[in-house]
Amino acid sequence: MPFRFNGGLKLNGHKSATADVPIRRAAIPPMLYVPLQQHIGRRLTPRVSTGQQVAAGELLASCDGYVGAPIHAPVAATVTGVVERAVAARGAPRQQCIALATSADAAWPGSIASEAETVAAVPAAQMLAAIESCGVLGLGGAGFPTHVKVREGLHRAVDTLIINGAECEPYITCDNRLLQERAAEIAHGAHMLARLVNAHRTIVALEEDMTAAAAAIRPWCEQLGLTLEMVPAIYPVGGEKQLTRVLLGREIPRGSLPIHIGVLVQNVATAAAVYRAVAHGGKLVSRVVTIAGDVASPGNFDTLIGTPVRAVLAQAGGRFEDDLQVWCGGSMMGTPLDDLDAPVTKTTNALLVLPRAPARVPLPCIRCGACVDVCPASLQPQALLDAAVALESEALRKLHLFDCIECGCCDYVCPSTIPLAATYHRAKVHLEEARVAQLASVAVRDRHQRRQARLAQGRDVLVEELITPPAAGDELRDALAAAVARARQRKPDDGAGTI
Amino acid sequence: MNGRPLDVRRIMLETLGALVPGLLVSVWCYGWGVICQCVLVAVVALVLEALVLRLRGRRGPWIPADASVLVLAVLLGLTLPAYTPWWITIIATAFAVLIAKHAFGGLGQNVFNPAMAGYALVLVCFPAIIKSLDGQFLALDRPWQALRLVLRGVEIDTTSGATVLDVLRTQRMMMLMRSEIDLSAFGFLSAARAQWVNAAFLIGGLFLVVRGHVKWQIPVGLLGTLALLAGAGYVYDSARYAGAMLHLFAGATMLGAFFIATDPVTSATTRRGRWLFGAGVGALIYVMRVRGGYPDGVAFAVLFMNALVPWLDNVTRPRTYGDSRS
Ligand code: SF4
Ligand code: SF4
Repeated sequence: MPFRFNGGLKLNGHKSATADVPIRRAAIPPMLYVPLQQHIGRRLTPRVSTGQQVAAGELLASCDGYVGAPIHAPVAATVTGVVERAVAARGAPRQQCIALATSADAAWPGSIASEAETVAAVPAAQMLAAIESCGVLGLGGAGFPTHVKVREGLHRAVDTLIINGAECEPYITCDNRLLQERAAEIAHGAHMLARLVNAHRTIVALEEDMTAAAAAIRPWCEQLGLTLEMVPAIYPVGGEKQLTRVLLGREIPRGSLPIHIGVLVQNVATAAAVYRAVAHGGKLVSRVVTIAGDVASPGNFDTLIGTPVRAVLAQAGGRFEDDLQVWCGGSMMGTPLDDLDAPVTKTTNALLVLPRAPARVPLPCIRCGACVDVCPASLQPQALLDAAVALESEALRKLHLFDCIECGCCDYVCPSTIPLAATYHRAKVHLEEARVAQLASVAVRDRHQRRQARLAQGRDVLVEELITPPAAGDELRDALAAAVARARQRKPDDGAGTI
Repeated sequence: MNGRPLDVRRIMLETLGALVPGLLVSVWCYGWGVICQCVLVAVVALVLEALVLRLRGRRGPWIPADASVLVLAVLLGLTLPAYTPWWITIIATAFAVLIAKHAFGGLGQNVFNPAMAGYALVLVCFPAIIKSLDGQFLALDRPWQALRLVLRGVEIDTTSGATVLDVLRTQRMMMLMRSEIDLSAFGFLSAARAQWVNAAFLIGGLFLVVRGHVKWQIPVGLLGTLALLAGAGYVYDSARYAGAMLHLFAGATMLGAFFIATDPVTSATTRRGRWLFGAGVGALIYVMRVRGGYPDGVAFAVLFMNALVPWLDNVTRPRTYGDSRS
């Protein structure tokens, strides 16, 4: 590979326990809790009512806005209501979930032949519609709706489509297994995406130690004209920015998206989901989740969206004891998950069970510069730390806080064991909330001024307000909520960057 | 690419370990006074550190977990002349711990290298005493004799007082030709002892570099610049300026390059910053040795560059990923 990115870490992948074990199906639990918000953007509006019987794949909720992907009933079930609970996503946010009592005869959605047949050329509009209506979104990280990302790609020339299989985070092997077992689906999905956005070339990128996965997908790449590239196993090479740099030698400018330099990045699991949606109308109702760490039978589990974490963990032989902590995600970017009734979402890539570490008392920063050396964004984490603790927004902006991808490399090397990435995350949320509050106050002032102006003109205020579309306020609120959600969820993998 | 998680305590303990060879050779060359200084500084520093931490309301073990105060103690003990009177040592230690370290906010916040600040203070306040003691070596075979000297104060008849650097400087000032400078007056041991000490610190320093505790850019920048300037001076006028090897292995060069200039807290954090920091210290050492009036330039060179660190860190900020600034 001719290019490299700055910093990064060579980590022990801890992948051998799960990378060679075939994907198993998680059992259908008696209750499913399908979250209404699984990605940034708007919360979905339920389209079912309590007591209603739903068939497998039936629409549960959809979105009124642009950025949203619908959700479907994974199996035949009865809607029992909407409940709020923590979900298995980054930061374990509480979400409204549609509760489904699965019927006794519910069966796993029919599997799709892994030797995918040649797919008849489907018109672009039809492909896009299928991707949207099947609820496909980025399965690698932040869960940005795929049809939105692709549509952005339609407006601009796409030079390179990158299918990201560089699963760099320790413990996680769900993409690795998928590549080994469903290479055909991934390759066909990639091919479809490439045709959809008219990509000049399509690169399937894997980490250099994923040899079995490479062997599985290579023949399909040759057949469909995709380029297979092996990238060095340096964390976080699977981050959108790092991968672009390593493959193409180009950087995504600050504050831009890959699409702005003609690059579209999609995760391998997303490509497989695209294939299923386009070729078979398969709704995205399950995903592969890696269960690793201190469990009797670690491995990857094809899991229905909405399955409580406790149920999958039990199937993998997890113990539920106080000396263990469940993490949502890998060991670098994962966040602790305390409520094991939390449902699996479309973005839950791994559940990691690790011994509870004794609380580390951070020492002061000794300015050793180790964090500077490993930061893939080339920031100065130790300088950011002071500013982030003091919440000096000016300094934080100057030090490019928002370019931090929260990869956790700096935490990993810090000899003072300072939780740096978490501190930056809090600072980002704080700044974003402050900005939103300011926007909101400006909006309120504007509305007030408009009203004053109307009053001054002596017009009938009541009539005026009746004909002013009330949606404007909602739009703003949604936009603001989305902005905050973005700040909370931003991740390097397959993320939406900074739309 | 440094994938090895370390903690501060470990770094400090390994740094102490890396100082051992140099410490032993120093004792062999300068006598037991070296140990007396280190122990005295350590005791005073620990007591002061513990007091300060209590005053700041921090509970914990009496020897602070990070062990950084011990490194400070050994560095200051090694820098002070072996037979410095006890009261001067205490003043230096108190200044280092109380003012240079804690008045700036404690571990991680101090701008100036505490050991060098303490040394510089007594050097400036009591120049005559320090200068007369610098490089003294008493081949005492009994530790308590050394202790008595430190406690009582020394009246040394300076049989072998001057170091190589001193001789070079004074004789240069007297416009003697280099060929006339008689280094043989030092005898084998005295002429070579600084070299042995330096070699021992070099070994310890290389260990730290290999372990990743010391970022190599600083020693390489420092020694490289020093060698370059010394070499240039030698080529320009070999009669008046000593060569590179002599400068590299004289005075506190290696101790400074690997253990003092590399103090993480007070040195630059960016890669380019470390290069510049090291090069700056190296250049200043050379200039002060050639033109200055003090025994060695390491302390002042380091302190001067310490003051520039915030600026260095700022101007050498790495280019953020995706930034158009190149
Ligand atoms: S790694 Fe930790 S101690 Fe070292 S400079 Fe960065 S924040 Fe400070
Ligand atoms: S978490 Fe942010 S600051 Fe730390 S290494 Fe990653 S990008 Fe750099």
